[in-house]
Amino acid sequence: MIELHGIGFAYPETTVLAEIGLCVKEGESIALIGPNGSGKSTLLKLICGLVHASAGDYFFDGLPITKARLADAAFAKDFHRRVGFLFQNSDAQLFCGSVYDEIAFGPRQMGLAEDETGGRVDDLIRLFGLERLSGRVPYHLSGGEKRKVALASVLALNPDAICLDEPMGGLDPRTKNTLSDLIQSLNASGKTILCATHDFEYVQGIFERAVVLSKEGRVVRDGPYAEVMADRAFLEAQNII
Amino acid sequence: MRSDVGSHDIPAWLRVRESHQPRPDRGRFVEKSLLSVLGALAALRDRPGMGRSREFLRPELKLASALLMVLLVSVSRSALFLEAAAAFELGCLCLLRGEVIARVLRKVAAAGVFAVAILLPALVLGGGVGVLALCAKVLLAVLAAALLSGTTPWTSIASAFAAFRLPDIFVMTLDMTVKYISLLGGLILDMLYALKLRSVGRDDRKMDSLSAIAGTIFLKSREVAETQYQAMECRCFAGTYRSTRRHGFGLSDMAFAAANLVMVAVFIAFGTGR
Repeated sequence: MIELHGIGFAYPETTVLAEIGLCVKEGESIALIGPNGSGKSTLLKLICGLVHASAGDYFFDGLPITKARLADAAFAKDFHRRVGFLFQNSDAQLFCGSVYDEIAFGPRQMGLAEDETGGRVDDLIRLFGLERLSGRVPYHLSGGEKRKVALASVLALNPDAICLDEPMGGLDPRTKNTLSDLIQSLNASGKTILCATHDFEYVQGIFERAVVLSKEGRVVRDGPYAEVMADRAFLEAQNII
Repeated sequence: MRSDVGSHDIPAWLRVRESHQPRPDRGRFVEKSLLSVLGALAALRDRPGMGRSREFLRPELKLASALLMVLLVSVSRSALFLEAAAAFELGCLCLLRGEVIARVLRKVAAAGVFAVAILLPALVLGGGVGVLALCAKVLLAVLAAALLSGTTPWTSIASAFAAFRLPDIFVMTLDMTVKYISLLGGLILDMLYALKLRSVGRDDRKMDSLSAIAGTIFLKSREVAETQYQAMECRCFAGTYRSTRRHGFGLSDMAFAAANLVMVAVFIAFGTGR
Protein backbone atom coordinates (compact mmCIF):
# COMPACT_ATOMS: atom_id res chain seq x y z
CA MET A 1 0.00 0.00 0.00
CA ILE A 2 2.75 2.46 1.02
CA GLU A 3 6.24 2.20 -0.45
CA LEU A 4 9.12 4.53 0.33
CA HIS A 5 12.39 4.11 -1.55
CA GLY A 6 15.51 6.07 -0.55
CA ILE A 7 13.45 8.91 0.88
CA GLY A 8 15.35 11.95 2.12
CA PHE A 9 14.03 15.18 3.58
CA ALA A 10 16.07 18.21 4.54
CA TYR A 11 15.52 21.75 5.74
CA PRO A 12 18.00 24.36 4.46
CA GLU A 13 20.71 23.46 6.98
CA THR A 14 19.40 20.26 8.60
CA THR A 15 18.87 16.75 7.29
CA VAL A 16 15.74 15.27 8.87
CA LEU A 17 15.33 11.99 7.00
CA ALA A 18 17.94 10.05 5.06
CA GLU A 19 17.67 6.97 2.84
CA ILE A 20 14.34 5.85 4.27
CA GLY A 21 13.11 2.57 2.83
CA LEU A 22 9.75 1.30 4.04
CA CYS A 23 7.00 -0.94 2.66
CA VAL A 24 3.63 -1.03 4.42
CA LYS A 25 1.06 -3.65 3.43
CA GLU A 26 -2.66 -2.99 3.63
CA GLY A 27 -4.00 -3.73 7.10
CA GLU A 28 -0.60 -3.62 8.81
CA SER A 29 -0.06 -1.79 12.08
CA ILE A 30 3.34 -0.22 12.51
CA ALA A 31 4.89 1.68 15.39
CA LEU A 32 7.42 4.36 14.44
CA ILE A 33 9.92 4.60 17.24
CA GLY A 34 12.83 6.94 17.70
CA PRO A 35 14.28 9.61 19.96
CA ASN A 36 13.01 13.20 19.85
CA GLY A 37 14.05 14.89 16.62
CA SER A 38 14.54 11.64 14.70
CA GLY A 39 12.01 12.69 12.04
CA LYS A 40 9.00 10.53 12.98
CA SER A 41 6.51 13.38 12.58
CA THR A 42 8.13 14.49 9.34
CA LEU A 43 7.93 10.94 7.98
CA LEU A 44 4.21 10.77 8.82
CA LYS A 45 3.61 14.19 7.24
CA LEU A 46 5.46 13.03 4.17
CA ILE A 47 3.29 9.91 3.94
CA CYS A 48 0.21 12.15 4.19
CA GLY A 49 1.51 14.38 1.40
CA LEU A 50 1.88 17.47 3.59
CA VAL A 51 5.60 17.77 2.91
CA HIS A 52 7.53 16.40 -0.02
CA ALA A 53 10.71 14.37 -0.10
CA SER A 54 13.90 16.04 -1.31
CA ALA A 55 15.16 12.63 -2.49
CA GLY A 56 13.72 9.21 -3.25
CA ASP A 57 10.32 7.92 -4.37
CA TYR A 58 7.01 7.49 -2.59
CA PHE A 59 4.25 5.25 -3.93
CA PHE A 60 0.74 4.89 -2.56
CA ASP A 61 -1.22 1.97 -4.00
CA GLY A 62 1.35 1.83 -6.79
CA LEU A 63 0.94 5.49 -7.75
CA PRO A 64 3.88 7.87 -7.31
CA ILE A 65 3.06 10.63 -4.83
CA THR A 66 4.84 13.78 -5.90
CA LYS A 67 4.31 17.49 -5.51
CA ALA A 68 3.21 17.68 -9.13
CA ARG A 69 0.66 14.89 -8.75
CA LEU A 70 -0.76 16.43 -5.59
CA ALA A 71 -1.19 19.70 -7.49
CA ASP A 72 -4.08 17.91 -9.21
CA ALA A 73 -6.89 18.88 -6.84
CA ALA A 74 -9.08 15.86 -7.55
CA PHE A 75 -6.23 13.42 -6.95
CA ALA A 76 -5.05 15.28 -3.84
CA LYS A 77 -8.53 15.28 -2.29
CA ASP A 78 -9.01 11.58 -2.91
CA PHE A 79 -5.52 10.87 -1.53
CA HIS A 80 -6.11 13.00 1.58
CA ARG A 81 -9.41 11.22 2.21
CA ARG A 82 -7.69 7.85 2.01
CA VAL A 83 -4.77 8.76 4.30
CA GLY A 84 -5.87 10.29 7.58
CA PHE A 85 -3.55 12.18 9.90
CA LEU A 86 -3.90 12.82 13.62
CA PHE A 87 -1.77 15.79 14.64
CA GLN A 88 0.36 15.70 17.77
CA ASN A 89 -1.25 18.95 18.89
CA SER A 90 -5.02 18.49 18.82
CA ASP A 91 -5.54 22.27 19.02
CA ALA A 92 -4.18 22.43 15.49
CA GLN A 93 -6.78 20.02 14.22
CA LEU A 94 -9.96 21.52 15.63
CA PHE A 95 -11.42 24.63 14.04
CA CYS A 96 -15.22 24.22 13.95
CA GLY A 97 -17.74 25.78 16.30
CA SER A 98 -18.96 22.56 17.89
CA VAL A 99 -17.88 18.97 18.36
CA TYR A 100 -20.73 17.82 16.10
CA ASP A 101 -19.71 20.19 13.28
CA GLU A 102 -16.07 19.21 13.73
CA ILE A 103 -16.83 15.54 13.11
CA ALA A 104 -19.34 16.35 10.37
CA PHE A 105 -16.86 18.58 8.49
CA GLY A 106 -15.30 15.73 6.48
CA PRO A 107 -18.50 13.89 5.49
CA ARG A 108 -20.06 17.21 4.43
CA GLN A 109 -16.98 17.89 2.30
CA MET A 110 -17.45 14.49 0.72
CA GLY A 111 -20.94 15.55 -0.27
CA LEU A 112 -22.74 12.94 1.81
CA ALA A 113 -26.42 13.58 2.46
CA GLU A 114 -27.09 15.27 5.80
CA ASP A 115 -28.81 12.17 7.25
CA GLU A 116 -25.83 9.98 6.29
CA THR A 117 -23.48 12.59 7.73
CA GLY A 118 -25.55 12.65 10.90
CA GLY A 119 -25.40 8.86 11.09
CA ARG A 120 -21.62 8.86 10.86
CA VAL A 121 -21.29 11.62 13.44
CA ASP A 122 -23.65 9.88 15.86
CA ASP A 123 -21.76 6.58 15.45
CA LEU A 124 -18.45 8.27 16.21
CA ILE A 125 -19.84 10.28 19.09
CA ARG A 126 -21.09 7.00 20.62
CA LEU A 127 -17.82 5.23 19.84
CA PHE A 128 -15.78 7.86 21.66
CA GLY A 129 -18.28 8.52 24.44
CA LEU A 130 -18.70 12.18 23.46
CA GLU A 131 -22.48 12.36 23.85
CA ARG A 132 -22.39 15.12 26.48
CA LEU A 133 -19.97 17.21 24.44
CA SER A 134 -21.53 17.30 20.98
CA GLY A 135 -22.65 20.93 21.30
CA ARG A 136 -19.51 22.20 23.01
CA VAL A 137 -16.78 24.31 21.41
CA PRO A 138 -13.83 21.92 20.79
CA TYR A 139 -11.25 24.49 21.88
CA HIS A 140 -12.63 24.52 25.41
CA LEU A 141 -12.44 20.75 25.95
CA SER A 142 -9.80 18.94 28.00
CA GLY A 143 -6.70 17.50 26.32
CA GLY A 144 -8.08 13.95 26.23
CA GLU A 145 -11.47 15.07 24.89
CA LYS A 146 -9.81 17.15 22.20
CA ARG A 147 -7.73 14.15 21.14
CA LYS A 148 -10.86 11.99 20.87
CA VAL A 149 -12.69 14.64 18.83
CA ALA A 150 -9.66 15.06 16.57
CA LEU A 151 -9.46 11.30 15.93
CA ALA A 152 -13.22 11.08 15.39
CA SER A 153 -12.99 13.90 12.83
CA VAL A 154 -10.30 11.93 10.96
CA LEU A 155 -12.28 8.67 11.11
CA ALA A 156 -15.39 10.40 9.75
CA LEU A 157 -13.67 10.38 6.34
CA ASN A 158 -13.29 6.59 6.57
CA PRO A 159 -9.62 6.62 5.55
CA ASP A 160 -7.83 3.44 4.44
CA ALA A 161 -4.65 4.35 6.31
CA ILE A 162 -4.31 6.39 9.46
CA CYS A 163 -1.14 8.17 10.56
CA LEU A 164 -1.09 8.93 14.27
CA ASP A 165 1.49 11.37 15.57
CA GLU A 166 2.04 10.69 19.28
CA PRO A 167 -1.66 9.97 19.88
CA MET A 168 -1.18 9.36 23.60
CA GLY A 169 1.13 12.22 24.45
CA GLY A 170 -0.01 14.14 27.52
CA LEU A 171 -3.13 12.05 28.18
CA ASP A 172 -4.28 10.36 31.38
CA PRO A 173 -3.97 6.55 31.69
CA ARG A 174 -7.67 5.91 31.12
CA THR A 175 -7.75 7.91 27.88
CA LYS A 176 -4.54 6.20 26.78
CA ASN A 177 -6.22 2.83 27.30
CA THR A 178 -9.26 4.02 25.37
CA LEU A 179 -7.16 5.11 22.41
CA SER A 180 -5.05 1.99 22.61
CA ASP A 181 -8.16 -0.23 22.39
CA LEU A 182 -9.56 1.88 19.60
CA ILE A 183 -6.39 1.69 17.53
CA GLN A 184 -6.44 -2.07 17.93
CA SER A 185 -10.09 -2.27 16.89
CA LEU A 186 -9.52 -0.03 13.89
CA ASN A 187 -6.64 -2.22 12.78
CA ALA A 188 -8.76 -5.33 13.29
CA SER A 189 -11.42 -3.77 11.06
CA GLY A 190 -8.89 -3.48 8.23
CA LYS A 191 -7.36 -0.03 8.66
CA THR A 192 -3.65 0.40 8.07
CA ILE A 193 -2.09 2.12 11.07
CA LEU A 194 1.19 4.03 11.29
CA CYS A 195 1.82 5.46 14.71
CA ALA A 196 4.70 7.50 16.09
CA THR A 197 4.83 6.79 19.80
CA HIS A 198 6.83 6.83 23.01
CA ASP A 199 4.10 5.28 25.15
CA PHE A 200 5.38 1.71 24.98
CA GLU A 201 3.48 0.65 28.08
CA TYR A 202 0.13 1.46 26.49
CA VAL A 203 0.69 0.13 22.99
CA GLN A 204 1.75 -3.40 23.91
CA GLY A 205 0.00 -5.91 21.71
CA ILE A 206 -1.31 -3.31 19.27
CA PHE A 207 1.42 -3.26 16.68
CA GLU A 208 2.77 -6.12 14.60
CA ARG A 209 5.84 -4.27 13.48
CA ALA A 210 8.22 -1.62 14.77
CA VAL A 211 10.36 0.69 12.65
CA VAL A 212 13.12 2.41 14.58
CA LEU A 213 14.55 5.73 13.41
CA SER A 214 17.94 6.93 14.59
CA LYS A 215 18.73 10.46 15.71
CA GLU A 216 20.08 11.03 12.17
CA GLY A 217 16.73 10.13 10.61
CA ARG A 218 17.69 6.71 9.26
CA VAL A 219 15.83 3.42 9.65
CA VAL A 220 18.08 1.40 11.94
CA ARG A 221 15.71 -1.48 12.70
CA ASP A 222 12.56 -2.87 11.12
CA GLY A 223 11.06 -6.02 12.60
CA PRO A 224 8.36 -7.62 14.74
CA TYR A 225 7.29 -5.21 17.49
CA ALA A 226 7.77 -7.64 20.35
CA GLU A 227 11.23 -8.63 19.14
CA VAL A 228 12.41 -5.02 18.73
CA MET A 229 11.04 -3.98 22.11
CA ALA A 230 12.69 -6.96 23.80
CA ASP A 231 16.13 -5.77 22.66
CA ARG A 232 16.77 -3.39 25.57
CA ALA A 233 20.44 -2.89 24.74
CA PHE A 234 19.57 -1.73 21.22
CA LEU A 235 16.85 0.65 22.46
CA GLU A 236 19.21 2.12 25.04
CA ALA A 237 21.92 2.58 22.42
CA GLN A 238 19.40 4.51 20.30
CA ASN A 239 18.40 6.74 23.26
CA ILE A 240 14.85 5.42 23.10
CA ILE A 241 14.68 4.13 26.68
CA MET B 1 -8.00 -0.51 33.75
CA ARG B 2 -11.18 -0.54 31.64
CA SER B 3 -11.28 1.55 28.50
CA ASP B 4 -14.31 3.39 27.10
CA VAL B 5 -14.22 1.77 23.68
CA GLY B 6 -15.14 -1.83 23.05
CA SER B 7 -13.81 -3.84 20.13
CA HIS B 8 -17.33 -4.46 18.80
CA ASP B 9 -18.26 -0.82 18.53
CA ILE B 10 -16.57 0.02 15.23
CA PRO B 11 -19.44 1.09 12.95
CA ALA B 12 -20.12 -0.98 9.80
CA TRP B 13 -19.38 1.90 7.40
CA LEU B 14 -15.92 2.24 8.95
CA ARG B 15 -15.13 -1.40 8.22
CA VAL B 16 -15.56 -1.17 4.45
CA ARG B 17 -13.25 0.39 1.93
CA GLU B 18 -14.91 3.44 0.47
CA SER B 19 -14.70 4.87 -3.02
CA HIS B 20 -15.16 8.59 -3.24
CA GLN B 21 -15.17 10.86 -6.28
CA PRO B 22 -14.23 14.34 -5.01
CA ARG B 23 -16.58 17.09 -6.15
CA PRO B 24 -14.82 19.83 -8.10
CA ASP B 25 -14.12 23.00 -6.19
CA ARG B 26 -12.77 26.21 -7.68
CA GLY B 27 -11.19 27.62 -4.59
CA ARG B 28 -7.49 27.32 -3.84
CA PHE B 29 -7.84 29.38 -0.72
CA VAL B 30 -6.20 26.86 1.63
CA GLU B 31 -3.15 26.50 -0.62
CA LYS B 32 -2.85 30.27 -0.94
CA SER B 33 -3.18 30.73 2.82
CA LEU B 34 -0.64 27.98 3.42
CA LEU B 35 1.83 29.54 1.03
CA SER B 36 1.53 32.96 2.64
CA VAL B 37 1.99 31.56 6.16
CA LEU B 38 4.91 29.43 4.99
CA GLY B 39 6.48 32.49 3.37
CA ALA B 40 6.11 34.56 6.53
CA LEU B 41 7.56 31.80 8.70
CA ALA B 42 10.42 31.19 6.30
CA ALA B 43 11.25 34.90 6.38
CA LEU B 44 11.24 34.74 10.14
CA ARG B 45 13.20 31.62 10.96
CA ASP B 46 14.31 29.45 8.05
CA ARG B 47 16.78 31.76 6.39
CA PRO B 48 19.72 29.83 5.00
CA GLY B 49 23.15 31.34 5.60
CA MET B 50 21.95 33.25 8.65
CA GLY B 51 24.16 31.28 11.01
CA ARG B 52 27.42 32.28 9.38
CA SER B 53 26.67 35.97 9.01
CA ARG B 54 25.54 36.09 12.64
CA GLU B 55 29.04 35.21 13.72
CA PHE B 56 30.58 37.69 11.30
CA LEU B 57 29.41 41.03 12.70
CA ARG B 58 27.77 42.29 15.87
CA PRO B 59 24.03 42.84 15.34
CA GLU B 60 24.21 46.20 17.16
CA LEU B 61 26.75 47.39 14.61
CA LYS B 62 24.66 46.20 11.68
CA LEU B 63 21.56 47.86 13.09
CA ALA B 64 23.42 51.13 13.67
CA SER B 65 24.86 50.98 10.16
CA ALA B 66 21.46 50.34 8.58
CA LEU B 67 19.84 53.22 10.48
CA LEU B 68 22.77 55.49 9.64
CA MET B 69 22.64 54.68 5.93
CA VAL B 70 18.88 55.18 5.75
CA LEU B 71 19.27 58.55 7.48
CA LEU B 72 22.23 59.77 5.42
CA VAL B 73 20.78 58.61 2.11
CA SER B 74 17.46 60.30 2.94
CA VAL B 75 18.91 63.69 3.80
CA SER B 76 21.69 63.71 1.21
CA ARG B 77 21.36 66.18 -1.65
CA SER B 78 24.42 64.97 -3.55
CA ALA B 79 24.58 62.43 -6.37
CA LEU B 80 28.21 61.76 -5.42
CA PHE B 81 27.21 60.64 -1.95
CA LEU B 82 24.46 58.42 -3.33
CA GLU B 83 27.05 56.81 -5.60
CA ALA B 84 29.40 56.30 -2.64
CA ALA B 85 26.54 54.82 -0.59
CA ALA B 86 25.66 52.49 -3.45
CA ALA B 87 29.30 51.37 -3.67
CA PHE B 88 29.40 50.75 0.08
CA GLU B 89 26.16 48.78 0.18
CA LEU B 90 26.96 46.76 -2.93
CA GLY B 91 30.36 46.01 -1.40
CA CYS B 92 28.62 44.65 1.71
CA LEU B 93 26.23 42.67 -0.49
CA CYS B 94 29.11 41.06 -2.37
CA LEU B 95 30.42 39.56 0.87
CA LEU B 96 27.24 37.52 1.40
CA ARG B 97 26.38 34.04 0.19
CA GLY B 98 24.59 33.56 -3.12
CA GLU B 99 21.16 32.70 -1.73
CA VAL B 100 21.27 35.63 0.71
CA ILE B 101 22.22 38.00 -2.12
CA ALA B 102 19.30 36.70 -4.19
CA ARG B 103 16.89 37.17 -1.29
CA VAL B 104 18.09 40.72 -0.59
CA LEU B 105 17.95 41.69 -4.27
CA ARG B 106 14.40 40.35 -4.60
CA LYS B 107 13.25 42.70 -1.84
CA VAL B 108 15.14 45.65 -3.36
CA ALA B 109 13.77 44.93 -6.83
CA ALA B 110 10.21 44.84 -5.48
CA ALA B 111 10.72 48.18 -3.74
CA GLY B 112 12.36 49.62 -6.86
CA VAL B 113 9.47 48.61 -9.12
CA PHE B 114 7.01 50.07 -6.63
CA ALA B 115 8.95 53.34 -6.35
CA VAL B 116 9.21 53.71 -10.13
CA ALA B 117 5.50 52.97 -10.55
CA ILE B 118 4.60 55.61 -7.98
CA LEU B 119 6.97 58.21 -9.42
CA LEU B 120 6.27 57.53 -13.10
CA PRO B 121 3.76 60.37 -13.46
CA ALA B 122 6.31 62.82 -12.02
CA LEU B 123 8.92 61.56 -14.49
CA VAL B 124 6.50 61.96 -17.41
CA LEU B 125 5.67 65.48 -16.25
CA GLY B 126 9.34 66.45 -16.33
CA GLY B 127 10.55 65.61 -12.83
CA GLY B 128 13.90 64.59 -14.34
CA VAL B 129 16.92 64.20 -12.11
CA GLY B 130 15.00 64.77 -8.88
CA VAL B 131 12.76 61.78 -9.56
CA LEU B 132 15.73 59.57 -10.43
CA ALA B 133 17.47 60.65 -7.23
CA LEU B 134 14.33 59.79 -5.27
CA CYS B 135 14.22 56.32 -6.86
CA ALA B 136 17.91 55.84 -6.03
CA LYS B 137 17.27 56.89 -2.43
CA VAL B 138 14.43 54.40 -2.10
CA LEU B 139 16.57 51.61 -3.53
CA LEU B 140 19.53 52.41 -1.26
CA ALA B 141 17.39 52.75 1.87
CA VAL B 142 15.62 49.46 1.15
CA LEU B 143 18.95 47.81 0.37
CA ALA B 144 20.34 48.94 3.74
CA ALA B 145 17.31 47.54 5.56
CA ALA B 146 17.33 44.33 3.49
CA LEU B 147 21.02 43.80 4.23
CA LEU B 148 20.24 43.98 7.92
CA SER B 149 17.15 41.75 7.84
CA GLY B 150 18.74 39.31 5.41
CA THR B 151 21.79 38.68 7.57
CA THR B 152 20.50 39.06 11.12
CA PRO B 153 17.94 36.92 12.95
CA TRP B 154 14.97 38.93 14.23
CA THR B 155 15.79 37.96 17.80
CA SER B 156 19.27 39.50 17.41
CA ILE B 157 17.81 42.65 15.89
CA ALA B 158 15.44 42.96 18.84
CA SER B 159 18.21 42.52 21.40
CA ALA B 160 20.45 44.92 19.43
CA PHE B 161 17.99 47.69 20.26
CA ALA B 162 19.15 47.35 23.86
CA ALA B 163 22.48 48.84 22.82
CA PHE B 164 20.63 52.04 21.88
CA ARG B 165 19.46 52.53 25.46
CA LEU B 166 15.86 51.66 24.63
CA PRO B 167 13.80 50.58 27.66
CA ASP B 168 14.10 46.90 28.61
CA ILE B 169 10.37 46.44 28.30
CA PHE B 170 10.51 47.61 24.68
CA VAL B 171 13.24 45.11 23.82
CA MET B 172 11.39 42.34 25.63
CA THR B 173 8.17 43.16 23.79
CA LEU B 174 10.01 42.97 20.46
CA ASP B 175 11.61 39.66 21.45
CA MET B 176 8.28 38.18 22.48
CA THR B 177 6.55 39.44 19.37
CA VAL B 178 9.06 37.58 17.22
CA LYS B 179 8.70 34.47 19.36
CA TYR B 180 4.90 34.48 19.17
CA ILE B 181 4.80 35.17 15.45
CA SER B 182 6.88 32.01 15.07
CA LEU B 183 4.89 29.99 17.60
CA LEU B 184 1.43 31.03 16.45
CA GLY B 185 2.58 30.87 12.83
CA GLY B 186 3.45 27.21 13.38
CA LEU B 187 0.00 26.61 14.84
CA ILE B 188 -1.71 28.40 11.93
CA LEU B 189 0.31 26.26 9.56
CA ASP B 190 -0.79 23.05 11.28
CA MET B 191 -4.41 24.20 11.32
CA LEU B 192 -4.32 24.98 7.62
CA TYR B 193 -2.74 21.57 6.99
CA ALA B 194 -5.53 19.96 9.01
CA LEU B 195 -8.12 21.90 7.03
CA LYS B 196 -6.46 20.88 3.78
CA LEU B 197 -6.39 17.20 4.76
CA ARG B 198 -10.11 17.22 5.51
CA SER B 199 -11.10 19.43 2.57
CA VAL B 200 -11.77 16.40 0.40
CA GLY B 201 -14.61 17.83 -1.65
CA ARG B 202 -16.45 21.04 -2.28
CA ASP B 203 -16.44 23.55 0.54
CA ASP B 204 -19.24 26.07 0.22
CA ARG B 205 -18.33 27.73 3.51
CA LYS B 206 -14.66 28.49 3.05
CA MET B 207 -14.78 31.76 4.93
CA ASP B 208 -16.37 30.03 7.91
CA SER B 209 -13.38 27.68 8.18
CA LEU B 210 -10.86 30.50 7.88
CA SER B 211 -12.63 32.69 10.41
CA ALA B 212 -12.83 29.72 12.79
CA ILE B 213 -9.06 29.27 12.45
CA ALA B 214 -8.54 32.99 13.10
CA GLY B 215 -10.79 32.75 16.17
CA THR B 216 -8.88 29.77 17.53
CA ILE B 217 -5.56 31.54 17.00
CA PHE B 218 -6.91 34.57 18.87
CA LEU B 219 -7.94 32.36 21.81
CA LYS B 220 -4.59 30.57 21.73
CA SER B 221 -2.62 33.83 21.67
CA ARG B 222 -4.56 35.06 24.71
CA GLU B 223 -3.90 31.76 26.47
CA VAL B 224 -0.15 31.75 25.81
CA ALA B 225 0.12 35.42 26.78
CA GLU B 226 -1.58 34.68 30.12
CA THR B 227 0.66 31.65 30.67
CA GLN B 228 3.75 33.70 29.85
CA TYR B 229 2.68 36.43 32.27
CA GLN B 230 2.11 33.89 35.04
CA ALA B 231 5.46 32.22 34.32
CA MET B 232 7.19 35.60 34.53
CA GLU B 233 5.48 36.37 37.82
CA CYS B 234 6.63 33.01 39.18
CA ARG B 235 10.20 33.92 38.22
CA CYS B 236 9.97 37.28 40.05
CA PHE B 237 9.94 39.44 36.93
CA ALA B 238 10.53 43.04 37.95
CA GLY B 239 10.88 44.74 34.57
CA THR B 240 14.55 43.98 33.98
CA TYR B 241 15.38 42.20 30.75
CA ARG B 242 18.98 41.67 29.71
CA SER B 243 20.25 39.72 26.74
CA THR B 244 23.71 38.21 26.97
CA ARG B 245 26.35 39.73 24.74
CA ARG B 246 28.11 36.78 23.18
CA HIS B 247 30.60 38.48 20.89
CA GLY B 248 33.49 40.79 21.54
CA PHE B 249 34.39 43.68 19.24
CA GLY B 250 36.42 41.76 16.63
CA LEU B 251 38.54 42.78 13.66
CA SER B 252 35.64 42.50 11.23
CA ASP B 253 33.52 44.70 13.50
CA MET B 254 36.26 47.31 13.58
CA ALA B 255 36.63 47.24 9.80
CA PHE B 256 32.86 47.58 9.36
CA ALA B 257 32.69 50.45 11.87
CA ALA B 258 35.58 52.18 10.08
CA ALA B 259 33.79 51.84 6.73
CA ASN B 260 30.72 53.43 8.27
CA LEU B 261 32.80 56.29 9.64
CA VAL B 262 34.22 56.82 6.17
CA MET B 263 30.64 57.06 4.86
CA VAL B 264 29.88 59.69 7.49
CA ALA B 265 32.99 61.61 6.42
CA VAL B 266 31.95 61.39 2.77
CA PHE B 267 28.52 62.68 3.72
CA ILE B 268 29.98 65.63 5.65
CA ALA B 269 32.32 66.46 2.76
CA PHE B 270 29.92 65.98 -0.19
CA GLY B 271 26.53 64.88 1.01
CA THR B 272 24.93 68.25 1.68
CA GLY B 273 25.88 69.91 -1.62
CA ARG B 274 24.21 69.37 -5.00
